[in-house]
Amino acid sequence: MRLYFPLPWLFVSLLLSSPGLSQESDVTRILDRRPTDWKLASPGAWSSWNVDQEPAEELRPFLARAVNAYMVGDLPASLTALFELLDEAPGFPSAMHQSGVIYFRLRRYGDAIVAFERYLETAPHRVEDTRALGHCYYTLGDYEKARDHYELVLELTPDSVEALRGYALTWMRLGDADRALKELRRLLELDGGHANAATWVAQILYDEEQVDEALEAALTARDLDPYEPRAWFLLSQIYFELERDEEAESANRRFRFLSQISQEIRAAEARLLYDPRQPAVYSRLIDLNRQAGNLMAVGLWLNRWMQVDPGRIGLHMAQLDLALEMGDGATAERLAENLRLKAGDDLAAWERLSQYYAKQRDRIRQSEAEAEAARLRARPPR
Amino acid sequence: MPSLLFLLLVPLSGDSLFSGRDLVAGDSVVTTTCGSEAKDYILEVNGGGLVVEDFNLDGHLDLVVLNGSTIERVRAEEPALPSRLLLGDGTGDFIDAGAAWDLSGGVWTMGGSAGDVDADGDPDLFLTEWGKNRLFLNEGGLGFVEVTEGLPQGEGESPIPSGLRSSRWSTSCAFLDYDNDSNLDLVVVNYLAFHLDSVAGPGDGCTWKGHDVMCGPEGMVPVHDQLYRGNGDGSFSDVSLAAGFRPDEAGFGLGVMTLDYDLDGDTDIYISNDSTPNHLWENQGDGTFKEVGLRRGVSHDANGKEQAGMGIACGDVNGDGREDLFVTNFSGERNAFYRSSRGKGFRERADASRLGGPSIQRLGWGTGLADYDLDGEIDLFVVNGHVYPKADRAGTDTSYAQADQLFLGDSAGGFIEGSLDPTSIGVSRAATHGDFDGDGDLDLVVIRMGAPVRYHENRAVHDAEHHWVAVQLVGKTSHPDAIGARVTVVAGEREYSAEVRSTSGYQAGCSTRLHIGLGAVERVDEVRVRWPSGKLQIIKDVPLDRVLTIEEETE
Repeated sequence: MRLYFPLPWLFVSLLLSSPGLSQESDVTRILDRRPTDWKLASPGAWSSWNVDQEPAEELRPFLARAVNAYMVGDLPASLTALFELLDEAPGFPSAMHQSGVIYFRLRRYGDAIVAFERYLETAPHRVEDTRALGHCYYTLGDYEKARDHYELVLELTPDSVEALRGYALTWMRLGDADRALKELRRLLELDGGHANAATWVAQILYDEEQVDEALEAALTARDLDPYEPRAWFLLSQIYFELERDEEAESANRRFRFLSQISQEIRAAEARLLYDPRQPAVYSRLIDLNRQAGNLMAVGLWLNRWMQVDPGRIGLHMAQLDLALEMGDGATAERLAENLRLKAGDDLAAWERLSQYYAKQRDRIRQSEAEAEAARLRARPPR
Repeated sequence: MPSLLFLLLVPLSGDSLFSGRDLVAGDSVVTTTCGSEAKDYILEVNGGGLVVEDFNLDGHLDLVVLNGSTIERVRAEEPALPSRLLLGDGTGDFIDAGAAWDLSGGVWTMGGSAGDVDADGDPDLFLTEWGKNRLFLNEGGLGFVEVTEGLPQGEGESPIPSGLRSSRWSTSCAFLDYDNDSNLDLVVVNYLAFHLDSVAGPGDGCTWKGHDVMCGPEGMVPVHDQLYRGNGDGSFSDVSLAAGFRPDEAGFGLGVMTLDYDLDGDTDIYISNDSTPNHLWENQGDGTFKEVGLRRGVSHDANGKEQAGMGIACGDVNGDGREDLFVTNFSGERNAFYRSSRGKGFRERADASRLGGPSIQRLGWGTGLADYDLDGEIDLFVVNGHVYPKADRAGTDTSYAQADQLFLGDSAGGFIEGSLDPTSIGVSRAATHGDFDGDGDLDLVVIRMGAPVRYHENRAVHDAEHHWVAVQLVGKTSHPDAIGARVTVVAGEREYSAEVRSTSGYQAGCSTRLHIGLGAVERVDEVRVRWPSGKLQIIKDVPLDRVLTIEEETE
């Protein structure tokens, strides 16, 4: 999970290694509150603040809780800590910014807008931190504001691919297809593998009834990300228009398969936003992504699950299996070593390690694993 | 202090084309009921319905206001709260029609449509229900008689069954003549299987944006829609299967529109489905239909995502002679504007027409496309209101009560957002239009949850820049209602076209009288009518600003 916190990175690293993750958060209470509840800072209170400045000692416990909760995906707990921090230090810019990020991830775009705008009022020189503010305006349909904000962000970070993507799409929403295409093509020059941008190029061409060009673009987009349903949907539409029905039906079947999985994935992800401690949901997400053939996503969700349940040995074994399936021997070796250190009295783990080392022809470790497995098998059943 | 969101969703200020007021019949304010304020069950969210037609044959449009019920009444096996016919006097005022027009009964009435089922010269009425749908025949403009169980025959003869005794949860419906045999047919849209004893209820773990809410439609069982063929004697036969009117997978049907989308002379059917793909049923011209929604680009949004289709509006916005379709959707989704493309298909162009962004924070229901300000460009209204009272909680980016919207069309095919009702926000549902006060512009009526029905008087300017013509067709070879007929008004370089239909898209029926805004034209050169019979009739030298009654030529 990516974390951007307008604080010195060394300081954030220290926070991450510190204890302080809250227990079950009071989800309902914090979700009933809004950033409009925040106390106002006294005028000029943060005028000398800058992103490299270490926070005051008394704020650090709140920040530790916020950062750690965020890293395990407990967004309500992180938000709770940030609200408490902002009660203690009204207008603290980093906390307002991070609240905006959390609201954005919780899909509470109106609240995210308030948080980011408050941040910018306090730190107007930090526009580049607020690309997500453009996304929020966009998501709520305020395309003029989104466009204007993306322009500000791009002045400072012209190569920000995500800001450029948002900027291009606002032009599309505002009805300027030519400008949208121009910006998307600029994006693709920066990142030729950006499947989403490639799909939008195809979509705009299709909307403009340039069907042959749209087909070419849609095929490119599909090849860039064959697990993304949108490109398949667009292909089916284009083929239908061209009366190439067999190809249309085939693309549509693939779209429906991926779309169903994608919808289930979105629904499961939404459940985790409010409570990340749901093993069954992680298991389902892993299963769904495996069905779609998206092993990268399987690995991502295994990692996320491990962050909230690091003691579950089965997850370490699943990670090892996945690395082997993806042909990533170096990662597999690292994961096997990690599993060896954590296996303890887990018979299945030692059996799995025995198999792994046998395949690697590491006779010493294989013998060690077999011995541990034998010891555990010999123990009287509890 | 009001929330930011509230500020975003209140009506825009400024002069409005419409003047809104609570609908009054005689001395009483007209209200409807659809369940409790808490909205614990999905049955409680659709709201009541509306049907417009001149039922008492006095030349003025009347209004049927359809009423629901409550969970408590259902459990007590009490009938639906009474629906009412309100007789219009042609000035925008209404009186209760009285006992002769009794519509009591039913279980939970949803929507309806008017059509001259028995072709005797007066409009009859079909009502959809959660429970048994109902058919009422009009007795020569003097009153209704319910004939769902059996149509009366001559003395000594047994009544014949109406064929309409379906007991599904039906929402919208429309009369049409899909086989052009001059008998009215009927399409009935069905929602889902809802059994009060077994359905998930409050506290069953259904959540939305972190809040506990009523369950559905996800997780519930959608029910197939039905197509009935008119037998010519006032009765109907369910031909859904025989006509191929049966998709691979049923949708959660809410809205319906009849249109000849491919201009091949027969009526096609478009159905909006909640959380499932919308269906476009292409009439094959041989009594059967083929579902072509995906093929024509009107089943999903542009991202391939099925939306929560609610209401449908239909009109030729881009003036290419083909109908365009507008569909209202859930909050967080854009309303969809499917504009006809160069081929037979459509492109979703809500954003390019400036209709997408303003819809995202709203949940749309009833909608209509017509030239409300008489400037010669098609306008659009959308009425809004959420399904969850908890939409007012923090962080939902929407609200329960919402402003209704009016989008005025411009000459480039785009729209400019304005307010439909600057003085009031509410939880709106079904809506329809008609020139109730006879002044040459279209007024609106809107159902609101837990509040009086709203009547919006159109105050369009009537001057040399704002002309109109209304057309009432009377079929002779075709069915008298002429549903499916296409009228093209030619004025100088411009052509304006519209199609006769009986549905306003979501749980509402409209009058078959067409109303066409012309703007600053000096004359109407001709009116062309393509009748359902296939006959083309041309009328020259048509006066402006008049209701024109055109009878189908028989020779």
